[in-house]
This record gives sequence, structure tokens and C-alpha cells, in this order.
Amino acid sequence: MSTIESLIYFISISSNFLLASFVFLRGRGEKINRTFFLSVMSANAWLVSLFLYYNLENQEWVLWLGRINFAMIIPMLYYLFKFAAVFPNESLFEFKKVRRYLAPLLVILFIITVFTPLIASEEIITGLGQRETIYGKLYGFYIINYFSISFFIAIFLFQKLRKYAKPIEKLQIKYVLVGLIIALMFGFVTNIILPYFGFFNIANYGPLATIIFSIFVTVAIVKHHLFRIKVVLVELFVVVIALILLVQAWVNETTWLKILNSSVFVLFCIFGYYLIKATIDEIERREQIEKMSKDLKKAYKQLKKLDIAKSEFISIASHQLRTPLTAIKGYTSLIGDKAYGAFPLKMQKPLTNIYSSVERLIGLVNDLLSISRIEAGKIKVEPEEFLLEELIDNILGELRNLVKAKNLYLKFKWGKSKISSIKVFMDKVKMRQVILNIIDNAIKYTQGGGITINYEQDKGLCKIEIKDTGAGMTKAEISNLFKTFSRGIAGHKNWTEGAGLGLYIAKKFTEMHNGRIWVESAGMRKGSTFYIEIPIRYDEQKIHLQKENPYS
Amino acid sequence: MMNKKSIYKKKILIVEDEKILSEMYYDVFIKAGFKVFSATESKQGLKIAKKEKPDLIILDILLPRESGIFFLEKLRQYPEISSIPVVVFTNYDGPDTKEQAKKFGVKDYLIKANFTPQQFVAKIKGYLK
Repeated sequence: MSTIESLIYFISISSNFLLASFVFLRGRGEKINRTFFLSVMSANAWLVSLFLYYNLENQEWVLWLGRINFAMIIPMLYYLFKFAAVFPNESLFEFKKVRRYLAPLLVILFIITVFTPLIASEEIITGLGQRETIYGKLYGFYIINYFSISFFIAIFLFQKLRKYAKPIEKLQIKYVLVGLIIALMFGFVTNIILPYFGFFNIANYGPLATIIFSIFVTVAIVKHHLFRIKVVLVELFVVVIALILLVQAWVNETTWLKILNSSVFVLFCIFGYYLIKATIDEIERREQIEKMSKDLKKAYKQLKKLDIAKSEFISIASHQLRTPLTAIKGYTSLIGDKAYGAFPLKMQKPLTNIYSSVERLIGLVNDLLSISRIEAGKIKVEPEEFLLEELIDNILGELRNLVKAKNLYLKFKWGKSKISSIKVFMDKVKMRQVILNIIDNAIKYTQGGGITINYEQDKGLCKIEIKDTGAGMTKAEISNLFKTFSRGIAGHKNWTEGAGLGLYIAKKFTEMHNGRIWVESAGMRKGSTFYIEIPIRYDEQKIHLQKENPYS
Repeated sequence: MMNKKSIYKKKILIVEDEKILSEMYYDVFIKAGFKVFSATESKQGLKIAKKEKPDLIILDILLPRESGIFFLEKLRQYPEISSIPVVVFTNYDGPDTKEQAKKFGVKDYLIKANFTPQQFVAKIKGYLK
């Protein structure tokens, strides 16, 4: 046998063994892994007997080994059949049902093959490593058996390919099918067809068929863990090259070439070790990253769920808070309107106080709801056409009682420029909250004098000016004015009750309309003026453009 | 003719499960000259709607058993009452619910706490003009 031929056996047996062990060790408990291991091991047994058959020159041994060669194909086919049944899972049919008939048949065939001359009647040594087989009477039956089992395996896998829906399963079956068909055809040609026509020694190339099968099936089995296959391939590569180098060192005749080749072998082993280690490291890192990204995705999903639960809770809670407030507000206003008859004059003030208190509470609930939605980014602008001066007038009407109770004036100067205004296109509900919050704030901090509101349209902008004669502000106060509790100023020394929520919402809503809001004050006790500037027509695209391009 | 028109009272149906509020609005609408029917849940409301064919329905959203959205869905399925205008009047303002209600073509989605009964009556009168 030539060195090349010996090498083929050597490489085939060792790589089969490596791959099968790898698959087996990865899933010791799994039927698929076990079955694959056994089918590859039976193939290896065949390779070993084939190798010995060509290398032993004893007539008696050669006869026995020749028959064992034929016989070892039988368990291999059995395990391949079993593998086709259980791969990638056993849902299509149970192997047990076939085993009942298949196993006894194959055992009988195995015994006949080994112990009778019915399959291989004689093995002749025609030269060193040269063999010739005289076929027995049942050789045809043996071939039919080989064919029909191979055929069933292939049909079976094709059927699975058709019935299994999952893409990963389909892919796995495709790998096995391709590997199997190539291997069976290859082995059939090298070890059955060509020897039949007298090319006996070509059988030495048959072992390569088993590697093809092993590689394809290993890939298929570890398909779930695609990364890992890279390690297997690198390991395989390193081992094969190392073996070749070792053989080369061994067959050299001169000592110094032996030493040279041996040192190359040792160097390569060191290099191989680090190559494998680096590959494993890299793959572990990739697996880690994958796991982390999975964990992150999971955490994100949970957060989202929590977020939905939170906003649902806030919606329900505010509903519950509002219901009794609605009743208090409703009955107070009905009593005040004398719907239940006249009441003593001195009750007017307490009634007004109840009313304004409940209004404040309702406002707070609305503000809390708005803030939670602003923070969750869930607020949409729903623009409509309306006259802004009407809205302002409306708001002032609502605040009239409050102003009267504090003895303040509330003036509305419409249009400095005296140009009649046009309808605006804005979210009416939000604009109402903006203007109401600012005026309400002004009333709260004004003890004498009053509030003057100025509204005009100029250069595509609505300009609203709310000027009070109240407490005024320092620069430090102004800089903190439009922030909420959540911004961490609750503990701030200059914190004044109520200044947060309403103004923060007003600012956010104004910004949602692509507008701006700011305040000016000459200082303490000198009053303040709030300015609101909003484009007359809301333009959604412009807002998005700004969001995407914060520096433009 | 003129006389008859002024005698004719507009009919409204209030679907509201909160007893205190239901009574309050009932009184106010009666005083404002409406004929008022009350229901405390969706199915009862649908039954009354079919029988009385009100000119307008005031609908709460969070109702026992089936929600106001269920009420709207069913209402739109019966041709004889499907075109009755509906004003949602609730203290629940989940944005999704609001959107759903708008899809069913409600006249308005109002928050109860933001209106006094008198303001609300004025609003309803506006819709019935």
C-alpha cells in the first residue's frame, strides 16, 4: 500500500473519530448524537478491517478480513437508517417500529456474510497489497440489500424535508442528505462497482466517502451553534496537518531531515495549539456578546411591558381621582347657580373657595397625567383650526371668579397692531392648557394690581404676552422655572410651591408646536412678563426635521 | 306647527355607571328641558337606544362588564340606531381608547372633570342645533 493510500486511511479514521467524538461529547444524552457516533464508529470499524485486509499478507486472515469488510457495512447501514429516523427529531415515525423487522434481518445477513462463503467465497492475494474477491451466490442479494436500505434512507429524508416546516430543520436535513448521497454514491463506486469490474485497489479511496459524510452531518447537528463548527474545522485542520508532518518526519531517511521535520512538527503543534485557543476565545466572546444582546432584548421587552402597565395605571388612577372631583365641582357650581334654591349671601365666598380648590385639584390631576405622558413620549399633537382669541376669551371667563376673589384686574388687549387675526392650526386642548397654566400662575403670585394679556399675530407667529404686577423673580428663579420635580429641584432652596408642573407642561406643549416660551422680570416685586410665541400653523414635518437634526 | 316643535322634547340617553354623577346629569338635563333615559351598562344602554331612539347618546367608557368601546361597536351594527350621534363623556383618557372612539365616529371625547354640568349642557345643546 502506498504512503498516500495509508495516509487516506489514517486521516479518514482519525477525522471521523474526532468529529464523532465532538458531536457525542456535546450531547451525551441525545439520541441523535449517540446514533451519529455509532454510525461513524461502525464506519471506522469497516475502515480498520479494510486497512488490515490490504496490509496483512496471510491468506487465512485475508479471507476473514474480506468477509468482515462486507459485514461491517451492515451495522453502518443500520445506524444510518436509525439516524435518518431520529434526525432532526423523531416526530415523523418511530424507529422502534422498523427495528422489529430490520434488526433480525440484518443480524442474519451479518452472520451469513462473516461465516459463509455465500457473499465472498474466496479472497485471493495477487501480490503485495493486491487482492481479488471471488463473489458468492448471494452477493446479488447483498447488493440489493445495500441499495434498498440506502434508497429508503434517502426517500425518508426527502419526505422529512417536505413535511418539516422549520427553516433550520430543513437546512439540517439538506446537509445530511447531501453528505449522505455523496458518501453512499462515492463508496458504492469505489468499493462495489469498480472492484466488480476488476479495479480492486480503488477501494482504498472509499474511506474518503466517510469523511464527507461525517463533515456534513457534524455541520448539520451543530447547525444551531454555527460558531462551534469553526472550532471543529480548525481542530480538524490542525490535527490533519500535524499528522502529515509527523508521518513525513518519520519516513525520512537522513537523520538531519528527521530532526528538521520533527522540529517543524513541534513548531506546528505549538502554532496549532494557539490557533485553536484563539479560535475558541473568539467564539466564546461572540457567544457571550450574543447572549448579552439576548438578555438586553429581554430586559427591554420587560421594560416595555412595565411601561405599558405604568401608563395604564396612571390612566386608571387619574380616572378614579377625577370621578369624585367631578361630583364636587358639579354640585358646587350648581349650588352657586342657585339650581337648588337661593342661599345666604355669606355663603358665596366659601362656595367660590370650594370651587377654585376643586379646580386646582382637577388641574393637578390633568398636569400629572400630562407629565407622565410627556415623559413617556406618548403625547401627540392633534391640530385643528380655531380662533385663538376666542380660546383666550374663554379661559379668561373661567378665571373671572378667581380674579374677583383676589380683587385683581384681568385685561385682554387683542392685537397691538389692530390687524384682524386669522384662524390658527394648533392642538386646541394643549394650547388651552398652556395659556391657562401661565395665567393661573400669574394670578397665584400676584397680590395686588392685576394681569394684562396681549395677543397679536405677526410674521406667521402668534404672540401672547402675559404681564403681571406680582412678586417678580430673580435670575436664579427664572432659570429653574420651567423644570419639574423630577428634575431634582424639589429640594432646592428657592423652590416655590406649584411653580413646577404647570409651567413645565406649558413649555413642553409649546415646544411640541415648534414655539417658545420665556419669562422676563425686572427683579423682586417688580412683576413678571411671560411670552409665548407659536407658529400660526402647526407643521408636523418641521418638528420631525428638528428632532432628527438637533444642531440645525 | 311652531307650537308642536316647541313641545317636542329632545331625547338623550346617558350611559353612566357612577350613580352620583348619573343623578346629577339627569337632574340638569331634565331641568334644561330634555327627555332623559339612563343606563348603567352597555347592554342595557343598547336596549334603551333601540327602543327609544334618542337624539343623542352620552357615553362613559369605563363601564361594568362591557366597555363603552363595546357599546360603540354594537351600536354601529344596528342600522336603526347606528347614526345616532354619540358624545363620549368620561374621566378616562387613555390615548388608545380615545383613538378607538374617534374611529367609531363619536362627536367628541370630553373629560367630565373639565366641565361643570351647566357647561356640559350648553355643549350638548350645541351638538343638537
